[in-house]
Amino acid sequence: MLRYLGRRVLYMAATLLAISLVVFVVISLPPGDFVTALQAKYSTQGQGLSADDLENLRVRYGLDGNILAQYGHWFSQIVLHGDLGTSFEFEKPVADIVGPRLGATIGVSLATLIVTWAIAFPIGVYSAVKQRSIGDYTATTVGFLGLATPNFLIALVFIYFSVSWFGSVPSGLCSPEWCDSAWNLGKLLDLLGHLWIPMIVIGTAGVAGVVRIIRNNLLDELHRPYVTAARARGVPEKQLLRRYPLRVALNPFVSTIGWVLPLLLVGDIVVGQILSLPTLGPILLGALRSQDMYLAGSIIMILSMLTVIGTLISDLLLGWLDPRIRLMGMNGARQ
Amino acid sequence: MSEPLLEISGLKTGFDTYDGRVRAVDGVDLTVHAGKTLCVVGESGCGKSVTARSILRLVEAPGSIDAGSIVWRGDPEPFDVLELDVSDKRLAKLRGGDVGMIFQEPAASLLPLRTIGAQLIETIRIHTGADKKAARARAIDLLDQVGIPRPEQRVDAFPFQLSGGMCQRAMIAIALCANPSLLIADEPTTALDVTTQARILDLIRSLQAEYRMAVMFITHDLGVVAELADEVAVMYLGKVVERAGVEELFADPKHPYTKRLLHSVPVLGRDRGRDLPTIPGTVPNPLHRPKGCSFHPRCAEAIAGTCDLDEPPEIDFGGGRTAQCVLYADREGATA
Amino acid sequence: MSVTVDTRPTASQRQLVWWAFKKHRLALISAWLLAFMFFVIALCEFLAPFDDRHRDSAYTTAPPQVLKLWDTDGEEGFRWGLHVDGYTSTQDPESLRISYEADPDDRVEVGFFVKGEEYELFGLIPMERHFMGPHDPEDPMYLMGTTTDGQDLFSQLIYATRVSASVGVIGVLLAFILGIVLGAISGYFGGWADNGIQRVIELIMAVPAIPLWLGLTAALPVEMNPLTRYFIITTLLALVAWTGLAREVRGRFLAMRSEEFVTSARLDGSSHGRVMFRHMLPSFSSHIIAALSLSIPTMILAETALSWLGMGLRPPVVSWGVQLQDASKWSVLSGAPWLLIPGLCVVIVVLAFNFVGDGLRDAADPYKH
Ligand SMILES: Nc1ncnc2c1ncn2[C@@H]1O[C@H](COP(=O)(O)OP(=O)(O)OP(=O)(O)O)[C@@H](O)[C@H]1O
Ligand SMILES: [Mg+2]
Repeated sequence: MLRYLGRRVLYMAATLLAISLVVFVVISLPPGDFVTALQAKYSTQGQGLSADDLENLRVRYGLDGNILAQYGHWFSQIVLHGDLGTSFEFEKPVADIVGPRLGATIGVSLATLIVTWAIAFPIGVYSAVKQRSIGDYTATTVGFLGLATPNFLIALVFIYFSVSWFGSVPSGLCSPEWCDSAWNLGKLLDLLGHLWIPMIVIGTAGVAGVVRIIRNNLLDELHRPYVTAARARGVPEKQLLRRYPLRVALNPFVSTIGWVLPLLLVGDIVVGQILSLPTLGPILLGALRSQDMYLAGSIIMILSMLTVIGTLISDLLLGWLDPRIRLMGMNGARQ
Repeated sequence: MSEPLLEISGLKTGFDTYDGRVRAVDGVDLTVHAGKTLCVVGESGCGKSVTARSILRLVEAPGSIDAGSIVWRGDPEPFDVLELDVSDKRLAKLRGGDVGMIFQEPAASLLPLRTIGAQLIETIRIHTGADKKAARARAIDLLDQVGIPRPEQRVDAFPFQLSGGMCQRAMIAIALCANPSLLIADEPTTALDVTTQARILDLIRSLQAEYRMAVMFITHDLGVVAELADEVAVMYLGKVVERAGVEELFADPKHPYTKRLLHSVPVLGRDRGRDLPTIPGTVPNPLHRPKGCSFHPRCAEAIAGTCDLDEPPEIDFGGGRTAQCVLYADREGATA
Repeated sequence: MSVTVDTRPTASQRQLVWWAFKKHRLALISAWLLAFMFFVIALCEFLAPFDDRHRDSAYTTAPPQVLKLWDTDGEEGFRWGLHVDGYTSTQDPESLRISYEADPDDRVEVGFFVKGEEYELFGLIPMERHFMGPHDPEDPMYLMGTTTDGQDLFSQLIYATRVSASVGVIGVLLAFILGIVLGAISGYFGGWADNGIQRVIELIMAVPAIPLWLGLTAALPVEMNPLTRYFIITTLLALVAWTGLAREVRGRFLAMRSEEFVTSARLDGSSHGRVMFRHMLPSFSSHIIAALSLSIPTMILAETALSWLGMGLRPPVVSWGVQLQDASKWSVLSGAPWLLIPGLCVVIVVLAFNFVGDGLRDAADPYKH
């Protein structure tokens, strides 16, 4: 198990390094650098910057030297000082902008993840066990639709009905009267009242996908020799399902974290466009539009990190659930 | 001849496929006698496994049992397995209690995620109601009986940590856990190497003597038949074409198919691990069963105008010996 | 001794696949639907009543009209004739919003093969006839309503279909070239090449795709030529999407590497490239086509989302995603639900590609289920 864990962590570090490279490329792609942009901004305000000033700024932001040195500077700033750079739009350190919203993002994503699973798991199991029943056909059809519909479209349809029925669109995560108060039951209820909307919008595609995975896996497992063998030795039907095929189908289910999480984070970006949540999505969009690359790059980096961490957690869970992985490394189970 | 333990008659089991219904088992009659070994042989796809599964009602959709009866005489009150409700206690007792079953792929027949001990103890507790501790002790004892070395440790091993032969031994231990009176073995050695095959066969034989149970042994391997069987049933395309005691069968095969099978076969006890000799022609697709006798397109003795038109009669030679072939129709008491 | 061998005629592999595919009724219907879509794409300029630059500021966000075969309220009572009703507009005094209603007295004659804006069919044949349109090109005929800046949604949708579907198809083809070549090398040669390629694939798969796409497209210069942008975006989509296919191809090559026909082809002196692409690849081409068809929806959905977010294609190029941007403001959408029609198109086309892909996969793998 330790070896497996070590490999996973090492692997995660490599992935993060690769992601940081890509993000740095993204940051450096637009022509000009942070200082040129700053100069352009000041000159429109009638303030000139001398060549010396520019040089000093470049040194301060680590923009002198070749691209590799720049990457080194940027990377070491993040790792050593938690310094993600400066937002050009807000003229504030990126960390100050991102920090307060990170919690809400993780919160909304986790809540949605849990709800997604709670809904998808029973539907998927039912659908597989009662294959070709009306319930199965309904679930499969809705699932197909859910996967074929971009989640922003679900959001738009949702908004259309919300406006035609209630005359407005609920937005944000809390009503004004609760936002600043300390946590209590009222605030929690208010939060839940707001949370279900982004959850529906963000979670639909996830639910459809997870139902499909569970159903297909369970269908595969239901006809394995070990199921027949267990039935032949008298294991009662109820126990049989729970202890045998379901137990095996749980593994791919756990590994869905790896792809459900990014889906949720992307959902957040999309919903943020419409519902103005206090999460990272809306900020990322704004930053991308104004080519505020440090901010955008940092958020992409953070979203990627969350995904990678999610994958790590799911790998560890998998190792805990599946003795083949625990005892023999990855190769045993992935075949 | 000892008491009949299981009587299958007129069993028909089919599968729905896109191209129509496949009649995988098409009117099979078999009898297993208490304490004896019945070997069922036949080429791949002739319905041996489906027959075995039908006995414990293990045929799953898209398959179903269409007709016939399977009478269990192991209880004071005999009953027809096919008439039981799926939730009937007697069916639950049959599965894994009175009838143990082992399969072709031992490793795939065990859940990889649970230890063999867990699966063995589960079965012991279902059938004996023992508590955890007692069940574990019994599990270790059973593993020891089936020849697994260091059973106290192996009981906590996962199936993938054991070899195929060890897995099959574990399966046998599970099958034995409630002292069954019948062991159904569906090609239990096909997936194993030759030496392991021999050991497993020896094990089954010694356990059979010890537990005084009947064995229904399904195989491809005529060498195994010669060594193990008391009686033999030869199957072809969903039907039993010949039935005989083992000496009679080897000495004087009646059905042309059996003759073909035996053509290149082995002296008794030698050549174990050898598959059925290949017979010219292909096994017809059960969907497009030839008219008349299903074997006639491959039969050297086929009589044009008879074999390709009429179903062959079942000829009873007495003493449990039968053959489904028109060649013997004019001899002793034909029952068409 | 003679043995009669079963002599029923046997079907070729291709025939078997076709039969199995036909059994999938949904897949077949979807295939026809897609064929129709490609037909529309090919004749896009001819089929669209207006071209994609047509803009009518007199009718912004006007509702869809109903195509009528006859009317009963002319002077002579009942009369035949294909037409739509024109609009009357009223302005709300408070919100200053203009709303349009159908006006039965204002009859807009509609005909087939009418003269309209000039265009070049297939980029070659200069023409001015359109399949259907108002007899007077200045008249309004907006079967799906108009957009917020007065463009005919129906015409725009036809043009958008061309863009969105082609991004999907071209992007997937690019991804496939990458995926097949790298997957084949990985599976056929194994060893360090395989190892290297697999690590790269795992890395790419570990990075969440959409934020990455967003970052890359945001880094593109704003004032880029729309056509260049179209190609760059398609390529970017492809660069992230090839990994899945590469894995599939690798698996098949790996399984097939030691098969007899491969060894014998090698012994015959064929080069590695020839063995890989002439002998091995064709033996699972139906799987590849199925996988191809199943990857197109992902690509289309990604492009739609990107463009809708304003990070993908930009006007004057219209794709479904670009069209749907119009519907993002809830104040607009609440009065103009027809702006969601392109979304319906996305769903239908994505479903169709999925069904066709599923059908092909089942047909290629008759033993799987
Ligand atoms: N799940 C199924 N669906 C459709 N047909 C089936 C199914 N299972 C079995 N069959 C049909 O039943 C026939 C008999 O199968 P069975 O498994 O009993 O053969 P067998 O004699 O055990 O062969 P083998 O020696 O290969 O194990 C096969 O020819 C097959 O056509
Ligand atoms: Mg079998």
